[in-house]
Amino acid sequence: MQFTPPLARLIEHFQKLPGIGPKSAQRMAFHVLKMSTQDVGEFAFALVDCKEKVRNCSQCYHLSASDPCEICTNDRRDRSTICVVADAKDVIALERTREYRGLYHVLTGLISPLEGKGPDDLTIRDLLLRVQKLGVKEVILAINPTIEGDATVLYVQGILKSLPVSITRIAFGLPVGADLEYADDITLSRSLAGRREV
Amino acid sequence: MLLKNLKLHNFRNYNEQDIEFKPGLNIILGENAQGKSNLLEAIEYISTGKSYRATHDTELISRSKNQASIAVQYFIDWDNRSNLQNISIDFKTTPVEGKTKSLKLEKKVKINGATYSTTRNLKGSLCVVSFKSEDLNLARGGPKYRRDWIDNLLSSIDLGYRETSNRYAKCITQRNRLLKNIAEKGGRYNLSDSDKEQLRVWSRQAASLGAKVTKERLKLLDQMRPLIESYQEKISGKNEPITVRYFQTSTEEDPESPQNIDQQDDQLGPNWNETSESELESRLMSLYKSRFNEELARKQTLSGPHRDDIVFCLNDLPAKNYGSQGQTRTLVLSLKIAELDLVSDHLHEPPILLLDDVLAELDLNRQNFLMQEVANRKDMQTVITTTHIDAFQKNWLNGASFYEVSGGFIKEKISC
Repeated sequence: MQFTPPLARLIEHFQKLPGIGPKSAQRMAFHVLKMSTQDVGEFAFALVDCKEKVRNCSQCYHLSASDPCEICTNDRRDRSTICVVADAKDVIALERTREYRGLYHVLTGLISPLEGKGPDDLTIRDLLLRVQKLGVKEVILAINPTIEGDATVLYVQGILKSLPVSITRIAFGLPVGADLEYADDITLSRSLAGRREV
Repeated sequence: MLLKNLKLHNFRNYNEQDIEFKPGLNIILGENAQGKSNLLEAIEYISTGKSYRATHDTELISRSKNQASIAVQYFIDWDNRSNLQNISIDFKTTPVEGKTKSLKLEKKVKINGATYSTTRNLKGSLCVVSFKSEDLNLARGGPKYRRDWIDNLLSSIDLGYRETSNRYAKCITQRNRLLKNIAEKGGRYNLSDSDKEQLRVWSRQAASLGAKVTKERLKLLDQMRPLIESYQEKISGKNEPITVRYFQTSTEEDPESPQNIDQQDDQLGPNWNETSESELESRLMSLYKSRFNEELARKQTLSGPHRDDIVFCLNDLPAKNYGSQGQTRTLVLSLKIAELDLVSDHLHEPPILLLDDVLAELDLNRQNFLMQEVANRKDMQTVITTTHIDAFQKNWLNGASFYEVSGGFIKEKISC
C-alpha cells in the first residue's frame, strides 16, 4: 500500500533530517496530520523564517538573526577575552554554564585534509584581525582533544604567536560526578598530566 | 587465566559446538581440514577482536549462514576460581540495499553483560599468547610482520599504547592527504603560506605521536633482548649473542638488504635503547624535512613507526639473510617464549597459550624445549593442536586432556 503523494512527500522530507529513519519519519508525518491547521502553519512558517533570518554573525561567526549577534553587541561582555570554538553548538554549550562573560569566535570547523578543510576554509584570518583590532588579552581555545582538534590548536597558536596575547586551552579530565575507577586510561592520564596544586 | 568453556555457533565449519577445557595441557587431535585451527582462531578472536587469517570478518560465518557466535567462560585467577567471566560475540550479516554481493556485518560484543557494538573493548579481558607456523615470518618475512607483532604485543599489555598508535595512524592519514593536496596544487614551489603552516602542524603532531610509539617499542625490545638471548642459548646450547636493531627508514633502499645494515644513519646507534622521546621526535622532524621531495612525489609519509623495522642479528649478522633454517626457528621460538614471559609478568600469572600445529615446524630438540617450557609453567593452560599424537613423547602427556576433531565436531577422548 502506497501513501498518497502529499503524505509520501512529507515522509520523504522528514527522512532527510539527521537521525530520522523511515519509521520515525512516518510517525512524525502522521502526527502532523493530527495537528491543528494553525499549528501546522506556524511550524511551516518557523522553518522558512529560520532559514531566511539566521545567518553567521559577521564578527564571531556565531549563528544569529541579527548582525552583529547578541553576544558581540552586548556591552556587558568582556572584550579582552575571546573563546575560540569549532562550532556554533559549542557556543550554546558554553553559554549554558553562565560562567564565561567574554566574546566568542566560531571557526566553523576543524583543519582536516581528509574532509578537504584547510585553514583558509576556517575563520582563522578573521580571528587574527579581531584579536589585533580589539586588543584582546586572552584567547581561550575550547577545542576537542581529537587529532584534528590538536592540529587546529597548533595552527591557531602559530598564527597568534607574534601578538601580545596569552593563549590557553581548556582542561581535560574527569567529568564532574564521575568515578575514578570507571574512567578510561586515556582520560585518567590526561587528567594526571593536567593536575593542579590544591 | 583459565579458559573453562567455549561455545561456537555457525563459526567456520562448526555448526553447534560446546567444549569444556581442562587446566593444564589440552590436546586437540584431528586430520587436516577438520577444524583444529578454526577452534584456536575462535579463542584468539575473543581475545584480540581480530582474526589473523580472515581478511574480512564475514569469512568467520559458516557458508550460506547469516549469523554466527563465539562465547567463552573463563576465570581470571588460576587459584581463585569463583569469579566466572563471560564474553560473547554475535556476528550478523545483512545484505546492503542495491548491491547484491556486499554484506553489512554487525557485531555485538557482550562482556559480562555489558553490550558493545565494536570489538574495541575486548582487549585486556581474555589474554592469550599464540604460536603458529605463520610466526616464522617474524624472522623471515617482511617488516610488516614484525611491526604487527610488536604493536599487538604492546597493545595487549599497555592500553595506552593502542590509543597512541591509533592517533598516530589517523594523523598519518591526514598528513598523507595534505601531501596529496599540495602535490596536486603544484608542489613545493607553489606552496601557499597556509599550506606551509598546515604542513608544519601535521608534521609536528605526527613526529610527537610517532616518537611516543617508537619509544614504547624500544622500551619493550630492550626488556625482551636478554630474555631472547637466554632462551636462544638454552635451545641451541651455544652462546650466540643476539643484537636487536631498530631501523628507521631514511632512504628508499630496502632496509633489510645486508649492505644497509652498516649504514649508520638508517638505524638508531648502538645505544638505541637510550634514545629519548625528544631525540626521536627531532629525528623524525629532520627526516620529514630531508625527504620532503620524495614524500611529495609519493604523496605519503615515508618516515616513522609505520615504516620502521626491527632486525634481529645473530653474531652481528641479520638472521633474516644469514640465519640457517634452524637458527631462525630457534629465534622465533625464543621470541615467543620471551613474549609469554612478558605477558605473564604483566598479568602476574600466565596467559592462555595457543599452539597451532607448531610441533611439526620444530625438530625434536626444539620440540623438547618448548614442551619443557610449557611443563615448567605449572599454572598455565595450553591448547595445542596436532595431527599425530605420536609426535608427543610419553612424559609430555602426563595429566593432559584429549579432544578429537572431525568434520566440525569435537569430542572429548577419555584416554589416548
